[in-house]
Amino acid sequence: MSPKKQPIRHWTGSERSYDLIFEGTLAVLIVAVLVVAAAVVFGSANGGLSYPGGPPSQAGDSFTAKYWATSPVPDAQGNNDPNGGAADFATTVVAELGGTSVTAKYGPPFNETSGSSQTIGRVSLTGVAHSLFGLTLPINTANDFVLAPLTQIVAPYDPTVAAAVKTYKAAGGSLKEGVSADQLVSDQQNKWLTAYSDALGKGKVANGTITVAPGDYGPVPVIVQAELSIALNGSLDGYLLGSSSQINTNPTDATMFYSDGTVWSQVAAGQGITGSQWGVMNELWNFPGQFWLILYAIPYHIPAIASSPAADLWVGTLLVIVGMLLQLLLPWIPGLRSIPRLIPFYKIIYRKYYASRAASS
Amino acid sequence: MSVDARPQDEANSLTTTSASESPAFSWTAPSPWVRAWTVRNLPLRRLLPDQEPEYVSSGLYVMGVLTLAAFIVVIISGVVLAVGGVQWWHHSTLGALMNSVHFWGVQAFFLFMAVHALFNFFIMAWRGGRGFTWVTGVLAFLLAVVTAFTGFLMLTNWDGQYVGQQAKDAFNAMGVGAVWNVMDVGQQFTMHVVVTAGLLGFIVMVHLGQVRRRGVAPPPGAEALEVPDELAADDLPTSRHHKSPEAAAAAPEADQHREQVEP
Repeated sequence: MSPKKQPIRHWTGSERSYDLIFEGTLAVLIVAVLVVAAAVVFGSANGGLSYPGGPPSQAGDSFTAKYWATSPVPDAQGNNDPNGGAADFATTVVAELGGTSVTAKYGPPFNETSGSSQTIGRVSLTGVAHSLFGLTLPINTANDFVLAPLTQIVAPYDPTVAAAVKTYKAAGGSLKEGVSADQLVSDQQNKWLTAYSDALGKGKVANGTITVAPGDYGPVPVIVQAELSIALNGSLDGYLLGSSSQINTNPTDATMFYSDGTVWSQVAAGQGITGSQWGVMNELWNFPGQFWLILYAIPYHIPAIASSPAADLWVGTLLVIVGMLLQLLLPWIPGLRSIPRLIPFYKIIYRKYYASRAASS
Repeated sequence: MSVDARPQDEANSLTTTSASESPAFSWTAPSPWVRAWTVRNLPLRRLLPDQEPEYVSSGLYVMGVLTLAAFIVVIISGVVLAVGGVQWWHHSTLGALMNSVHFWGVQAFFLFMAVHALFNFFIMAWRGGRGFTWVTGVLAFLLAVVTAFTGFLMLTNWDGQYVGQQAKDAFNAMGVGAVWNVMDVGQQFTMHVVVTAGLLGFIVMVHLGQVRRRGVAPPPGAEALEVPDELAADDLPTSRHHKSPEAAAAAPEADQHREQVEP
């Protein structure tokens, strides 16, 4: 039997002594010392919800309905309105009931609302995933965020709220998980909500109490007031972050609800971590974040992409093509693989080798 | 039988192939096949070398091992954090320190890796059949990005909450969000600690194996000094240490192996 040809190649030029174990151990020690020193000197970001001008917050804090409803919000004159968070919360509750919130209109994987998924031409990867997997994270914003919590937390102890919820449900509107936004409300409910929304815009929220001009709002005022009350006392957070099986590691519903309000974005903007503030690659305050995502962050700042309703799909597609395929296949792509010959940094890197070879010859 | 008296074949059986070990695949006797492949492709003199080509002298060559060193620091601090639990670092001084070590370890890891990648691009490290080494390096970078991302998602504070809420749009737009819910902290914990970190560790091992197996690419223009091991063993002078390039370049066999720019 002929000997198997060795698949590896061997350098026949000059060599130098080398100790892989020593070099590796030394590298680990040096990096460990540097990293621990940086950790001790600079620490790491854990500022909770703190931001300049915002309410106090502890390390490890996350966004809650209580924080939301008690958070001040700048008014039209730029002054902090201490009841601004409560007003924003009440407005958002109306939007969740009426199917006009961001979550209610999101589409798959949260609900069947059509026309909101991002597309390039006729291609919708969200639609493809929806066809393959169905609605994997179904949410009914009216029931999951408002009616169900009130039914469980308040209604058993408050006949007025129990009656309001019963009246509201009896007026129609689907309670089914994942239904499209237009099925969340009946015509009657929509009339109540529209009238109340207008009144809320002209009304007043103070010390946890909502005051609006008299009108035909049906049971809506009682429902919204009760929802604000359980947000203020923290029990709504307990409901949203709990589960029927006691232990829960999935706060998706709560996150979707919280992010429908304006206070959510206000905190992010205050910490400088929104998309327009390069938040994709920034950590809060002055900490470096995921700087390696710069190639992912840049397309979001190209006006044509940033203004597109399919911005995420465009960026994701570019990332797959440029950030993955071009990088992976670079050695086989004519032109790209020749860039180092046009910008011959290697002549600097190997200058000693080339000099010694020239001297020898 | 004493060790010294062992036949040559038996003495070499752990480190090389023998005639009795067919390299052909066999379902009924996979061990010789696996061992023959491993011995041919990952010889110990490559895995634990005591010599390197003289041109491997730039400090930029150290970026790879520094990346690996940072990865080790990140793994150790990550294991400590995992033992403490996902919320431990919020209320423990040691936990907070470990989180900081983990954080700065990741920063160092990506910094070293970025320089390592740029360096290997500009020396065209894929030459001489090293294309797969490049591919595994890029895969390691991509997996590292995903691993770091899932780490940010399981911070169990506002930061992680906001990153997940923002990232869901990109995941949903790409159709991934239906099965990978970036707002689900429990899922991100298992993704970060088990799935992505495990895959990253695996691909890093494959990358290291490739680097050790193929060695580092010679300087552009010196590719002819790199010859198949068979030639080096059989046809070239036995002492390969501190031999001049001219002597090696003069070997007629080496002339057959012209500059290889393509992988």
